[in-house]
Amino acid sequence: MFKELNPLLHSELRLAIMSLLLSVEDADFVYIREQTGATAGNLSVQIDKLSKAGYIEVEKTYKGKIPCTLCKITPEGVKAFEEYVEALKSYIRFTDN
Amino acid sequence: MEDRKITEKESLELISQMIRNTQNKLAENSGRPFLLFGYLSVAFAIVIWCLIHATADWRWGYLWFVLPAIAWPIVARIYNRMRNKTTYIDRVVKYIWILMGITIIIACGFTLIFHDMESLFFTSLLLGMCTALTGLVVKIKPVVIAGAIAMALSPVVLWMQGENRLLLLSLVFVLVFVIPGHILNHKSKNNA
Repeated sequence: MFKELNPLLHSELRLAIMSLLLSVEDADFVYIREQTGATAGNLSVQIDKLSKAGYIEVEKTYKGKIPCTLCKITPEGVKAFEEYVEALKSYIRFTDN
Repeated sequence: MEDRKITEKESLELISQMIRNTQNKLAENSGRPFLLFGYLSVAFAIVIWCLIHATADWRWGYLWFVLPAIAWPIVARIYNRMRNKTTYIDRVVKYIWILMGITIIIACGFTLIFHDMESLFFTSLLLGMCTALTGLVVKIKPVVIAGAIAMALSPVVLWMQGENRLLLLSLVFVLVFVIPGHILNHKSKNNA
């Protein structure tokens, strides 16, 4: 039986953001953009969606005098990610068989 | 990368690729705080040694308290500017050195209050231990070795006389800050 894949996470860019934030404590917008190769506008929209879902926390701060957006995964985001991976496993197991 | 649906296999590949990209990577120039503390500490040790040697007044030792007042704000600024992500390793290393700094200030305070220099032994030992610990956490063997040598050198302070102990302390600073700082910078450039 397949578990349903979370549609919010089953998108290339949002999944990349979540995977990246899962392996660090926090990361700034520029770093996420460099790692994902996404455009600033698109990234901003996807971060906003994840933030509204409560999967990530966004903090507006400063690096010296330069504005900086720090993103951090929330416990809710970690749980959603784990459930997504579990669901993914069921799909992979099926296709392997 | 775009906002598009992906297959299940692509999802797994993407997850592992993103995790691989961030794990075990040092921030570029992560040795800078070590170098700043290292060179400043060596300079302070030599200047204080010269002043005590010339005047025979141990109170020049109070100058040590100026060091963190100068270095900490600069290190905090450097750290804040170069940081684009914080890994769990970064957090562990940061707290090791914050606790170290507090312990050293207490040790230096005791040294100055009780007018002996026994605390220099503990200071050297603790500095060596924290550097070795940092090396173990970031998995860089030469940093572990530099810290271990500093730890091994620390009891020598007990056999040295007067202000000359500061000269050994400056060697300890080279081992615990300067050498690891250059190694960390070199490694971070290579794996950036």
